[in-house]
Amino acid sequence: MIAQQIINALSQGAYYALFASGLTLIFGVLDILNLAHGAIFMWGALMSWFLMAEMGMGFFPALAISVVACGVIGILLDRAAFKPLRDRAAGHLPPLVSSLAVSFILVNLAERFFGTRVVRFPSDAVPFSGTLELGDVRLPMLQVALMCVSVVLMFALWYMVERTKVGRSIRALQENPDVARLMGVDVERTIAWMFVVASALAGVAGVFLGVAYNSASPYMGHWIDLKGFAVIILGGMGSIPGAVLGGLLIAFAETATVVYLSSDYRDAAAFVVLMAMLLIKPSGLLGSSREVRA
Amino acid sequence: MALLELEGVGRSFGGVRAVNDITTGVEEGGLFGLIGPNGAGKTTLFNLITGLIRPDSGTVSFRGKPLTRRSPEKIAALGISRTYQTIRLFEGMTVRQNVMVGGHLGGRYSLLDAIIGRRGFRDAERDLSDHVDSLLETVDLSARSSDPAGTLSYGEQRRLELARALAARPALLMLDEPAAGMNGREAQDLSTLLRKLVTETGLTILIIEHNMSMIMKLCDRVIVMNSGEKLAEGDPAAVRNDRKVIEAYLGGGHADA
Amino acid sequence: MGDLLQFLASYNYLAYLAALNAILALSVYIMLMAGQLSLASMGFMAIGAYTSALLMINGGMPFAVGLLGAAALAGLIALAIGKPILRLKGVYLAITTVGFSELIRFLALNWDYLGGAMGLNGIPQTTRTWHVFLYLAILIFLFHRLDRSRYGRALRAIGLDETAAKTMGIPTARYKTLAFAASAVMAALAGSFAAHYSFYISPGEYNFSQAVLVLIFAVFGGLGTHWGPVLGAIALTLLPEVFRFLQDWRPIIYGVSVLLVVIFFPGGLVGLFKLMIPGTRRKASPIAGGKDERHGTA
Repeated sequence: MIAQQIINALSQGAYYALFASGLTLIFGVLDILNLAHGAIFMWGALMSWFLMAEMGMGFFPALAISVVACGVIGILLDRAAFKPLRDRAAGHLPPLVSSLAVSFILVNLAERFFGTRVVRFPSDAVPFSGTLELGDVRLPMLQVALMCVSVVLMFALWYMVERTKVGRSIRALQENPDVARLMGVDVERTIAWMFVVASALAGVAGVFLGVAYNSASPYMGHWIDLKGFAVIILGGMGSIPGAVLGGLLIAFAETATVVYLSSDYRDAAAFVVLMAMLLIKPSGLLGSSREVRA
Repeated sequence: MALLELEGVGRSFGGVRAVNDITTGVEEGGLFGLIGPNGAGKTTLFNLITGLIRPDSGTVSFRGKPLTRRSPEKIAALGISRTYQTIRLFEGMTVRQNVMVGGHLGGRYSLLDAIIGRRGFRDAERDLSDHVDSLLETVDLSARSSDPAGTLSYGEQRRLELARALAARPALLMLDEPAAGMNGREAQDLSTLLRKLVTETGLTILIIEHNMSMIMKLCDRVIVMNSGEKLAEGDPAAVRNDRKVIEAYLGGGHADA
Repeated sequence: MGDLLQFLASYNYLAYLAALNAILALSVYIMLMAGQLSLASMGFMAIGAYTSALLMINGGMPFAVGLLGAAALAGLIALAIGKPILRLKGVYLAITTVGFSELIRFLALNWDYLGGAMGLNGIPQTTRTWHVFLYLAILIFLFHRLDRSRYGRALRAIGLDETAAKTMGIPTARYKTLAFAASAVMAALAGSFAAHYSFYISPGEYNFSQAVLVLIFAVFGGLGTHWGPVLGAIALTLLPEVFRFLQDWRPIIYGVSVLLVVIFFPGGLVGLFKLMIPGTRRKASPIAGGKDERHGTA
């Protein structure tokens, strides 16, 4: 029983980490909250559903196309909502609102293209349908696959940020944009790449969440945005390991709430943990303490 | 009794003694210079006096009242105004609005007075408005009064910060490099203005400045700091000939002494 | 005849909704004046709605007492939590206040006394449209007076450079807390009026989407004066009606309009009007991000 719950929490944490790592990447470099991240996540899920259910594609081609498309949406989002504001140094409020506007547009377009109902994935298109039994612990293969994918992608992301040229540019931008520019970092190119990566990760999370719960709808992004913000603050804004840790912590808090209290309180758990954290260490678990407090 | 008294004031940042054991005082009605090479701890001393940071040793008192545990806003209310080395204007506001904010302490009316438009409110606002106009006149910015503060030239911004600091009608005015970025004529005009303020209104001014010829001509007394410590104190002529001061400046590679 | 009545009734409702949204936008705006992004308005709106509804239903109190109770409770809660919460800045404050609203919503969802997920039924319909208009008019007047006083200037100064404001003698922490309490009272009263306008409330009405919508009203209208949030709320409430013929595509028009205004008109709708009327052109909104956000305090 306990082992089963731990596995559930781990796979839930894996979703949160996938979703939140993109958010935290964008915040770390641009100091903005991207409120369209959940809408991109939703597009990933619905697009993969469309490709599988309506176009008869297999899971993997559908996953690949959806994720790439999410990356492209990410670039478009940056061009439409963030770049013009970045060019005139508009502060943190206008980007929040413009990304929200893009989110409206994305949700409405999804309603137009995919309909407003909750859709189900065709069972024959989804791989990993069995369960793995270890003693009395039953592991749906899908959960196992998601955890593996998360671990691999988090390592890939970590590798990209720490070891590659784009990653070095991202870190330079995070440190100091002016210095980065002087060092010859192509700022706009780096930011575009960052949006591709962040949005593709949201897409992966969307596809897997849609398939795992066997449901997707244009409104599935609303909640995850909020959760994502709780996760990245908890972990420390801008920190990718922090996003993983924060995602796991919130998933465990939620699971514990369901087990020991009631499933009614599940969604409050994230915010209770978050508030407690902000009172103790506002910069988050792995965050630096810059500019959190007055 | 001195207007401002510092006794053994010190503050460390991560093991570095930014200000160490400073004991000095400033009497009412004069111009006092605070000089020293870059990194000597002058601005830190300003921040310690105005309450932006707290000393970890020693006491600061103003008119006999200890400042050490007071918040910046309480210290300002006692009559200390300041400007900043890195100009800190309210850039989204107009020139005039900046100075109006500076006069916040002068308006002795409550929010309720303002809402119901009581006479105390209207009188106070009219007085403040007149005061602001005359201050803008004083710093020669009347023509720019409705321009956004961010559009002013560097020298104009320095003058605006001065007017904003004066709007609170302080007893002690602390200026952090007010002539930085000004040309010779502007700096000359500033000197004239500061001297006039001291003689005409009895204001006391404490000034950090790198422009040595200005400090030497303008100040009644000069305090010299180096590496967080007080190096010398006295009238400009004495300080200029002090061996330790000369060494500090030459040792620090400064040619402007 | 019946059609005409329905027409008028629906416009009556729209007018009410526009005014209500304007009030909520002002409750976000007073915090934005001080450079603080608070999304707690939905939480306080819920507090106001439930308080006055229960005072009337279970307490048998008159409407006026319900309103007073709502305002008092919201104000006291804001004063109590204001100081620790307002030490946080920028997006940290925003998310914490979202968390506050969510917790209030969970409380309403799970506390049987508050009706749980079913909400409260049978709330006396005591709100008249003119109540809401009068309330909005009073708020506009108060903002007008605030703007011309040292308190309004102080709030703006805090928003632009909190440290400099402190050394000007402005008690920044106290003013921020008071602005937070004012914002809470404004939202709570709006919540009461809304609850007693319909006849039923439920926790779902006070969610995150509503909170950000109110923020959009304010930014869309412009943050230079209090007319911005008022105009923004009215415009965005009426916009879907104007584009009724576009049917299901309306949210896109909504999104595109907001995007265009935010990107091309930093002063919002008010800024746009000022551009069109010669001679009134002044500088854009002062709330673009103060110095404290970029540089740490000295």
